Amino acid sequence: MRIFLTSDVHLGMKFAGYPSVQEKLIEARFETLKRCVDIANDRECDLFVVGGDLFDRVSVAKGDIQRAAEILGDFQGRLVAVLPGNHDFITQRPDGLWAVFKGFADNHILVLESKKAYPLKPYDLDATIYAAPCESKHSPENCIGWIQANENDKDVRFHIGIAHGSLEGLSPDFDKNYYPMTESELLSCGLDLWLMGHTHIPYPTEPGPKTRVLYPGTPEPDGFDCDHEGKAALIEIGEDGRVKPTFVTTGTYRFVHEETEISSWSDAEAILARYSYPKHGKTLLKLRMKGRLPEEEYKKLSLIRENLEKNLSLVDIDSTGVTIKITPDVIDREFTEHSFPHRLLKQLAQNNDFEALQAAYELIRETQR
Amino acid sequence: MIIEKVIINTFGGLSKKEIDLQEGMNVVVGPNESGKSTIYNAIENTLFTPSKLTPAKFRKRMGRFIPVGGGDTIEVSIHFKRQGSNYTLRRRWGGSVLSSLTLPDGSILTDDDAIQGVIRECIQVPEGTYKTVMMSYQTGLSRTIRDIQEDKETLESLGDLLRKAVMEMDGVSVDAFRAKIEDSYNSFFGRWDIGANYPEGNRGIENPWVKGAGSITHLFYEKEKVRRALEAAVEYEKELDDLNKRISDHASEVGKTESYVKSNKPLKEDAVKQRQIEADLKGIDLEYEKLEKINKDWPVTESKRKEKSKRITELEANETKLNKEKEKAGNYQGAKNLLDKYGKVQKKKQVLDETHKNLAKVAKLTDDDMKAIRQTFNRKGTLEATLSAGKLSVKFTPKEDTDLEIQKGLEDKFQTKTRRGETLEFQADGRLIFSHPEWDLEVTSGEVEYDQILQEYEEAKSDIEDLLQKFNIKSLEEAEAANRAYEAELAKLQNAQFNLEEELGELKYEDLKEKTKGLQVEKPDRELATILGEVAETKAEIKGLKVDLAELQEKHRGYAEEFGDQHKLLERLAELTGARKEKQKALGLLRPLPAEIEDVNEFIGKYEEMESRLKELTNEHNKLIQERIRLEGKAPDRSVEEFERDLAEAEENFNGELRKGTAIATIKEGMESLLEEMDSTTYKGLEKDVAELMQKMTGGRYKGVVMDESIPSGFHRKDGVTMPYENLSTGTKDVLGIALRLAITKRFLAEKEGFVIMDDPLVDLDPDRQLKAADAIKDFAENTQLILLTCQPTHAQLLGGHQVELML
Repeated sequence: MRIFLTSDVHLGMKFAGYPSVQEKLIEARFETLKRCVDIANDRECDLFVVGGDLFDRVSVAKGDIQRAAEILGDFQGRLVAVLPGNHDFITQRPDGLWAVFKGFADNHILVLESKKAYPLKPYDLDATIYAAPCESKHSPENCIGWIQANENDKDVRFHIGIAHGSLEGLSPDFDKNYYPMTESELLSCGLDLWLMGHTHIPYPTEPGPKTRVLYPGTPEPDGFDCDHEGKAALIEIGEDGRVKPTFVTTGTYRFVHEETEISSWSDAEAILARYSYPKHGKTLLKLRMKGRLPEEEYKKLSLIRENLEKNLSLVDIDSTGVTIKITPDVIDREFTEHSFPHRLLKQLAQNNDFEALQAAYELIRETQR
Repeated sequence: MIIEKVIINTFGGLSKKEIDLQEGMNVVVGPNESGKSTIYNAIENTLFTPSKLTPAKFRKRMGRFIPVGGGDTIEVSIHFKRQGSNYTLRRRWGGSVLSSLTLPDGSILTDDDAIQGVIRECIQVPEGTYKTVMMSYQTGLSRTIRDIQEDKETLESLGDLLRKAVMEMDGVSVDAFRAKIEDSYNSFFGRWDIGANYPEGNRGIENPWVKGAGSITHLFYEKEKVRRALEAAVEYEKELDDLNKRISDHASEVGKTESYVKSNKPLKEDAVKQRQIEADLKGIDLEYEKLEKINKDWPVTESKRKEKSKRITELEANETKLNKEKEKAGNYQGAKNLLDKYGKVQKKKQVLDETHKNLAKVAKLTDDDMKAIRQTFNRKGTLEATLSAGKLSVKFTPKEDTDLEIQKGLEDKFQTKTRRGETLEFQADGRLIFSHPEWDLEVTSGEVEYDQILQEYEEAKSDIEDLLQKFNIKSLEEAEAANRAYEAELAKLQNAQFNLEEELGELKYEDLKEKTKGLQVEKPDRELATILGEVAETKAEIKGLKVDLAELQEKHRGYAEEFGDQHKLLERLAELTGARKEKQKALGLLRPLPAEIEDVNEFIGKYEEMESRLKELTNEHNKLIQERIRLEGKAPDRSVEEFERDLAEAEENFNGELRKGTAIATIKEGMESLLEEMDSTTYKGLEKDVAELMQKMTGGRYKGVVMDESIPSGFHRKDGVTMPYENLSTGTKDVLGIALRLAITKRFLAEKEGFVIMDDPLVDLDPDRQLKAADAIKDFAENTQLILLTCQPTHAQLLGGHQVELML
């Protein structure tokens, strides 16, 4: 049996903080979901699992819900199993998210909206899914309690748990408010495999036959705190029951946050080399630079910005931490002793206030005839 | 550093050109475009521009010196000396670069940095200073001085002029810089309170500044907008979580209750039926029990009723008999009582008669009589006392023997004979009467009407006599005794009378006597009391029996009314037996209730309670769902996580702007304190040099500088007049420009060995002033190598010194 696992697609995310690429980022999430389905079809997967947070909110637009259902409908395997996560939790509304979704979904899409065992024999799969759907955005208690108390059907070959929430030691959940779970809790349920969602980074870093708890990470990065390329997991379960999980790259856009110190033009050129086109054409870069450069090199900093802006999808550069290397020698060379600019710059240089020194230097230059 | 030779291999428009220079005054003279500027630039760049330049830098800095005619390389050599030692500096830029400095010992440096190090040592003042002050050929200082001369900006005092000259040597206008800083500061901090780190006037996002808000204030509001949206989203999600939790809990309770109601419904229906049958059975049993009791009681009641009737008849016959006996015994007792009473009355009648006799034996002196006697005696006593009141003492001495009758008070008169000269002395109470044949003398006490009282006294005495006589007594004491005796007998009589009347009661003695006349009595067999007791017992028994009988009759009537007769009662009992069997059969047909249900009623009660609770819960659940629909209608368009990211971005933007603004604030603060400090220290010494040069160049017309505290404000003229700067003539201002330039140069170079390159300062002066200024410049050149560039041959002539002529 082959399973394709994704989670945290967050369709309907707004990206208001990125107005210049907002629409593209919104669209990319749908494209990535489609890519996931395509990969799953290419690899002839039997089961396509969404481990929660397919949608970003319970209040996403109806059109988005329909689109998601249609994309998932293109899966050519046996079944698409979608677990409501903490962002798209179950509501009892007759016109709620999942009710609408089910209205658009075809017969081989199953919403795991109850804490119960879903036998997959009707879908020609010798497996049972044990679902732990979320019922609200936050919860200090996870939803796997019922599985621990449940007795597995011995006639079924594979027992697969699907849950959404934080994992101790992996996910940042200081207040323990995101359905917190521990690996030992999960393992104590006696299932063959846990397919998870919530944490946007893939876990474990190197999955293998012994892996029993698997987070695929988000298939499409959604912010600078998520610096991978967008991942999903492919799990192959052999006839002998051996599990062979691997991660596949799925994302369109990549968010990169780099903080770097430059002291020469070659450092700046290295940045340009790192973010070359077309490799980084879909990269959003938040670059924070600091350091001091000779004036001639400093003036060329704008070239870095121009080049990056030309090559990348979005560039957020803060180079205010980079200043001209205005040493006392430079000041002596360029300004007359005892003159106002000489004394002002010397004073600022003496206080090591490079940002003020830089600003004063530039203003003096602008003022100088 | 003294420049001895400049060899221009190729530089700008010059090639293969050697210019020899000397210590002191050097005047390079040539027409415009002859290469004066090229020489200046060749010297400056050879001294200060490294040969290794990036292509861009080369283009920017040296490109203009590439010969128009061709070639890509420029080259200049300078021979200079310092403290007697010779150096040769050679630079080549462009296609083939070279820097070479031959030191006095013959060694050669080619590294740009090392060469610059030596150059810095040789020029002895910082490079920037040298370029601005000592090489003031069409540079900042040169332009500033020219501006001063041309009075392009209004300068109100010498202080302004010197400040401007010193501060703006680098061509940086302090005012322009200040304005830029102010603009920049305001663009950052407009409407921002730095101390409070908050918008001015504590105006937060709810009341934001629009006009005049700087970028920090603006970004603060942006940040707060996002924060507010985030808080609303957090609140919304929390509310939704809480509501979902309530809905979920509620749904779970609804599910449990619904499951209970659903699974227990058939049981409950059976339980209700069972309860009804059991209630019917209980009713049947109760009725059966009751009828069975009546069936047993009915004949018993009948028997008792008859028994009681018979007994009543017997007792009533006995009662009649007893009443007759009672009457007889009653008559006997009445006669006996009458005779006994008459006997007692007789005795009391005898006592009464006896007391009448005794009363007749004593004098009748009643208490009223006694009271009158006592009053009369008292009245007489009182009058007597009145008459005796007032003691009279008499002393009587006749002058001849005299017979007298004397009465003292109420005493009797007495006769006395008194001798001549004998004194008769006595006392009397109230009155004294002397009677002499020839006269009467009556003496009375003056306090009472003696005669009237005496008369009353006599009347009282007479009344007493009458009373004593009336009752035949002699004294008051005797009267008292007679009164006591009479009253005692009278009391006995009254007592006897009372006893008799009491004994008689209503009767009269004569009637009683008449009734008893001839009365005889016969004693019955039994005492009346015994008979009366038996009569009472009989009556009570009859009464009790009648009550019992009435009850029995009532019961009997009730049975008859309800059932007709006992046969019919038996039929009803048979019916009930049949009904019971039917009910028991129906009960047996019901499914048995689980063993844990001990009490059917309790189970039905609990079921109905759960059923009602289910309705309530369903209603509440629907309300919660409606509440959620309302809440979801207010859903923010982004999740908290997205808002958190947006807020982080907004905070980063705000903090970045604040940091930039803080840099500007630092500059502003530094600028203000620096300008203040410069005002108080910059001109020290400078004004003296300026004054000396002015004196020299104006032929002594101006001889000193007027100081306003630390700020120079004008000049002392030799005629004693003080001239403020603004009153100086244009010509004088031109002279002042030269003086200022020379003074500043002197100040920076001081005693150091160095060269000064200067453009022609004599251009705008009149011939006289030119002469004097040329003298001052020549004086200056005595201690300093001066390279003066001019296009005016006449000026060159005036200045003298080593002349270098440039030709077109």
